[in-house]
Amino acid sequence: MKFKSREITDGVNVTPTHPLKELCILVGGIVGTLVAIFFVLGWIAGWLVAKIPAKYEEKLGRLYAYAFADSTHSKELDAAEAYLQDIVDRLAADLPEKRFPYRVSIHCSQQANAFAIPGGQIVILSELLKQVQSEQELAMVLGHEIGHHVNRDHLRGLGRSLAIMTVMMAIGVSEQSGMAQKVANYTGNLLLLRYSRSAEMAADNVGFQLVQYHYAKPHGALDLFKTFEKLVPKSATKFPAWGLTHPHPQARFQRLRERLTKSSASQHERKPLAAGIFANICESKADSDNK
Amino acid sequence: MDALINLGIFVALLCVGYLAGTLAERNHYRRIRRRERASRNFPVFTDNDTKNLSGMQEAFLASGSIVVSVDYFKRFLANLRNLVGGRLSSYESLLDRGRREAMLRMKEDARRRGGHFIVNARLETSAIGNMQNNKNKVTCVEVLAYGTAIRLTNPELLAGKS
Repeated sequence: MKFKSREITDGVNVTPTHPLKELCILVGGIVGTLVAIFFVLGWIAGWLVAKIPAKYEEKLGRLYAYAFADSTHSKELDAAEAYLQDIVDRLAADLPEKRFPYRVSIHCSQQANAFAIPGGQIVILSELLKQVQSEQELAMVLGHEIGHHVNRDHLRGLGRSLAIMTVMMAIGVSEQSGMAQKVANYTGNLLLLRYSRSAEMAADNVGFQLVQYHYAKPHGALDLFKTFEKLVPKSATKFPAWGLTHPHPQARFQRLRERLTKSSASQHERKPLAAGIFANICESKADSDNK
Repeated sequence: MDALINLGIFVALLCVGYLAGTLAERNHYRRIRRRERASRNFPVFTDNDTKNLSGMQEAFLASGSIVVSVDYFKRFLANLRNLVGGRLSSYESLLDRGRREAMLRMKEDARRRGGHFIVNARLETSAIGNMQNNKNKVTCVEVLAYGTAIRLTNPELLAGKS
């Protein structure tokens, strides 16, 4: 047998698929499956959440409320809370289905924000109170949070996060996990954000409806989004909405603005806030913090 | 917002990995093909039968090894593939390059030391990088080619190797 020198060819060892094609197929398949699973689980979670009795929701709320419990209560703070409570009571008076009384409280903070906590609680951070200009604007904040309660958004959100976490755990996502798991994680987060944005818009609807119902001149409610626009840094408005928990303030303003023209309310008068009501609410707290 | 920034970094890494990796692989294959053509007359056999060989002057161990890694993009593809199973085609070219390069280096080693051909050639592959602790994992392999290089007293006899 003689040695014969042969041409060496690129053999059969490498599958001739283009890597980008493979990437598209794999990412598309995995993301698609995750989206499907997520929607099914999310739907189930939403369905189950509607069946949670108010009693358990209140218990759950107490866990959250603990974080916002201020030990010191000044006279000014009590007065401000009573003022807010009065607005909330008026707004919520005609809601058809109320599982529990809505209770509002103020938490001293440098951030301008408000939350709905399970069990009918609404927490407003003091900085936001210093930013709002009219009663309609304040009513929009409170109405928005009531909207979260009416739609049971925190429970739905909790259910969906749980659904996502279950899926992530099933495919082994952790801090040190591989890149495929990270893709799954991004997908999950973006889906949660999508839900979050639609929940915010639904809460806006409820809030604005309440303001329109109770105030003859609801125009001032839209000032809230102008206030938000001022509060967020300019650079943040350039971020695409799909990466954010809330829609852009301009978009929220535009949406509600359209409804306003339809309902032909053209008066722009604002009802002023009770004079100086939020001026000194967190002064004593700041003092004690400094000491 | 954080998720968005992370996603941006990740996509940028993928792009860099893809472009750099593709370029490196294309260049490597070009070099491999050129050297394979140049060394095609240097015989390598897998059998170890040298009993009937006459005019053998010297036998020595020739070896060539390479450690080669994939880019970020391919590692990511393989990771995705891991989830659903199937052909890890993104690693196939890595191993193919590794084997061919190791063979070439073995031939070059043998030739440099005066060998005329290689018998009993073998290939070994081992993974480098700790798979147990997959944080900061480096996905790379070592491919080792080794064999017995034979030096003949009269290289003309090469054509008559049975």
